[in-house]
Amino acid sequence: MRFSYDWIGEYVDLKGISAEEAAEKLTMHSFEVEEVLKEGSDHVFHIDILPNRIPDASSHIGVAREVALLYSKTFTPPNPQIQEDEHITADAEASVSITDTDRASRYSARVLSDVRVEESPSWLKERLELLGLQSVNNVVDAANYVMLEYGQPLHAFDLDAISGAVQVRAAKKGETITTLDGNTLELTSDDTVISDEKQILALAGVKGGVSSGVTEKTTRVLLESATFERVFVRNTARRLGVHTDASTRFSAGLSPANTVRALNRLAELIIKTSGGRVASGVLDEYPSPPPARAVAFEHEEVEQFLGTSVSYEEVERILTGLGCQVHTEERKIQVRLPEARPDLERAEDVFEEIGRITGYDKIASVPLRSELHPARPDEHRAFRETVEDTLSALGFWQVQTYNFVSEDDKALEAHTHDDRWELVNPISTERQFLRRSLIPEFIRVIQRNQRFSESFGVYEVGKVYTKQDESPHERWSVGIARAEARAEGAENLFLLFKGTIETLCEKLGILEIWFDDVISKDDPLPPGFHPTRSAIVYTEGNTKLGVFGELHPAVADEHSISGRVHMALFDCGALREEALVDTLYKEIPKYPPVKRDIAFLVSEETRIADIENVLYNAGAEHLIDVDLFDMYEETGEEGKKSVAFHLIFQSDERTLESVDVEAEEKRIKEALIKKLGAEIR
Amino acid sequence: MKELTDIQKEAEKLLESINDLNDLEKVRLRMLGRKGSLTVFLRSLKDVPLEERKKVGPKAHELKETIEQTIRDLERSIKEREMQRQLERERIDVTRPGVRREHAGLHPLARIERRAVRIFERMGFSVVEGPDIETEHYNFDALNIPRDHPARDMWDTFWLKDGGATSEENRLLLRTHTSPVQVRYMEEQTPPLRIVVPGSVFRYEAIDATHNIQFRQLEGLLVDHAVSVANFKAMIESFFEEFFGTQKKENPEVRLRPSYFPFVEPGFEVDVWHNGVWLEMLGAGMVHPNVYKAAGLHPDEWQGFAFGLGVDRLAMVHYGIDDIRLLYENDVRFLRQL
Repeated sequence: MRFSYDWIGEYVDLKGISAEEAAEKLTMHSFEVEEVLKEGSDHVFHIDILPNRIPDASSHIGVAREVALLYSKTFTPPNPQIQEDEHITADAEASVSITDTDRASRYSARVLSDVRVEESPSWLKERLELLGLQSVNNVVDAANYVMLEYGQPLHAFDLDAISGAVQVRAAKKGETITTLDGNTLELTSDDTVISDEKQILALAGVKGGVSSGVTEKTTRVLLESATFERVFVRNTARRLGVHTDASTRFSAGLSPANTVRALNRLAELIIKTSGGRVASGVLDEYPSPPPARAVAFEHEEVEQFLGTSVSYEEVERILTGLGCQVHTEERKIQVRLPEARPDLERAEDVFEEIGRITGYDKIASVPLRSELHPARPDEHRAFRETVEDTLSALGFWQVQTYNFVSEDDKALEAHTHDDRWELVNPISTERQFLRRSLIPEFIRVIQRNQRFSESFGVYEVGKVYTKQDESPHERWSVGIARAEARAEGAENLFLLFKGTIETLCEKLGILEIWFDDVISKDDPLPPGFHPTRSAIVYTEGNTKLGVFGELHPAVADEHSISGRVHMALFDCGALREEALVDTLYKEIPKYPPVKRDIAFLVSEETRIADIENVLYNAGAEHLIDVDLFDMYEETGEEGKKSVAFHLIFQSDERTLESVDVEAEEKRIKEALIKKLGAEIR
Repeated sequence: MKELTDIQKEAEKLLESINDLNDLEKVRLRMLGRKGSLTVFLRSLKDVPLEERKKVGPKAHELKETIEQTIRDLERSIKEREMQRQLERERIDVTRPGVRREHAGLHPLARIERRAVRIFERMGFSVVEGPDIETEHYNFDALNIPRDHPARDMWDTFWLKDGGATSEENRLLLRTHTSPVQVRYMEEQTPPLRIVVPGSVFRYEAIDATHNIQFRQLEGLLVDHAVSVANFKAMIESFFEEFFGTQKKENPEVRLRPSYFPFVEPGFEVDVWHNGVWLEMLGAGMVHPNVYKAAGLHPDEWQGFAFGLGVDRLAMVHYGIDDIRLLYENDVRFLRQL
């Protein structure tokens, strides 16, 4: 909101206080002055008045009161002087009522006649334009002027355009109003209107209608100063997309205490600038004035709360300066809260006032004295940190992607789509759904980075979201990807990536994982994975941990991704459940192992897992490890490949002799021949 | 039979022309091996009369020791020489580029978040997390932000479609701040308590250099029997001293100025003095009585403060990043730098 420094100076003596100084003081004690701009001989403050202070401080008087209090100067608000004409009475000229009392808590009005509507005097025009308002005519301008002065929005109607009694009521569905700027708005019963017997005169709290607006032809004026209920005004403004200085103020919940004061000031100002006569009497509909509010507290509580002492005299000065009435009764400070400050309700609110005016810089830091308890770590978070640190150490960069994806991304996330969360109000179609998988964002990250990097790895531990039985399900997912621009060595890249996964699981204490490429229809590979170069990762106990593999070449093509990309997705919760937190020491073998090598031919389709199975189940009781160290396919024999393994034999009880090992080796060879048709070399 | 002196001369002659360890071993065998000259001589002493044995014996043994010692010395010096040659042969140009293994690392947001969390942990704050998909109740109403209140405009919200489990009175949304966890936690745990809540939050904003639809926050909540604004000031000063690693200066390092959040009373903005300017770093305040009530606690029994720190902002200040979007672009060249 904009404020004129000179204008503030009409209510408090600013001699010797520069605009910048005053701005700084307000920022430190009242509200943030975002900018101070010099305009001619004046300065304009751009102040961020937050919702709780709009009712009392969206006005020059409100800001001036703060300044006066901060500089211990006298605050002199306007004192409107009205010369009422006893020949005309307001209630003979017009009648007003609040039909729906939930829409307005007060409606005050005055009648002016013989008004000369013309261009405003230059001082008035300048002041309005300085603060961003357009000049219309001297009556409308005066209403805006007093709004900026008092914070109370006011409206002027051409009384001759009004037929019969004026009322504040809920609109009826289908009613319309053409506002002062020429737009016609269609209303519902949620909107509030000022109407007479024939038509709608204004959209209450928001904007006036053109048919009853004040023009150069107007001679009789009905001035409105009312308090419209904030909820209705806010909803109407939002629904119709019409936001005005008036609606902003009403939406924050103005106090009804100000209406008549502002009304009188407006009348005084109009008479000054446009002449005319003020009909005697104020029409004031005020069905339920709110009860007086008060709080009571002991002086010690102030210090207890703020952590600094403030003398009773200072407390009294501050609160009185804010409009409160202060006295002591039975050792307690009794404070009558001002009507103009609806944001003050309880003792804490009063302590805040005392604290901020005194200045938070006066509060010295005092460390808290309390019991010490060790902070409880969040175990799930600690686990995620281990995963993150392990992947970082393995050469993968952690990325932070958005949790939103587009409609098109669904093809990459999963095969079914009735479990997605959609936003009612996305900022764009790219960010319309909550992600169910890290893959779509990963693909974008890879695509972007491939322009500059040939080889890189990334990971993220982030949330994915699904809808299950209409309820939200959030799970932490671990996504890992490696991109290599060069095309050759694809198999090796696959194995390197597989090694990363094995290392990660080992580090987490998940030993003995196995990889299943026999994909069932009930649990297919997620989209985007190369069907013959991917596997589901299981624990020894057949718990599914995740999936890994190469990026489907069609997907790579579609997204202009070059080279080879390998990805893995793990459910973090599953990893955590299977992870071993601590291991127990196992005795290091006392006796040396015996190593033997074995090489043989098998058919090309024979899988390593099957060979290993045969080796371990051949009845060689001291075989503790096998290690594939060579494999090639150009064997000279059609459809066969050659494999070679190190076989490691060891006993817990004694050093094995050659003769022990030979017998077991024989059994192994027999099993290979029998079960796999192997040709031993 | 050879005389001892001849044997000595033999040894001396042979040992002069030693070139390497092979030669040395040959000489050792010639002289001291099973059929070596000196060995044979020593064996023959048993057939020699005692008088002569007494004279020649010791001399023979002395010669044996001398030859052995000489052999040892020669062995050592040959080995040293050969070592020197090897060392020189093995010289490497140390200025050649090393073969690097890529080390990678945490994202700057994760690093900053961890750092901040650790500092609070050291001050006894437990770490708690909460859901991203929140209910209107926990995100707003329980935090003293009723529907239709203009304060709601302070947070532009992403609403979720078709949350069947909720009603029109309690719609599902993406949390706009981590503050809901204050109430969730206080419903489960009685004070005194200290928690920090890291997490992602979501706002309906136009994305530009300083605004994003998603960012990380770190919430803090401390509730005890007697807590004042002065206590908050002390704690947040400690935090920033630790975080920016500065010593306490004469100028205050943090300053509080008035602000407004419905769930605290009073509310502050906290500015931090950093690199010669005041930077707005977090919002904070004393927990509003209505928040205690929403959590089922009696507001008169407890006092506390709460604060919300933007991790993205902290990262930007710390690293000197001027555009928040860089943190979400994930350009590896950017990540490598930090």
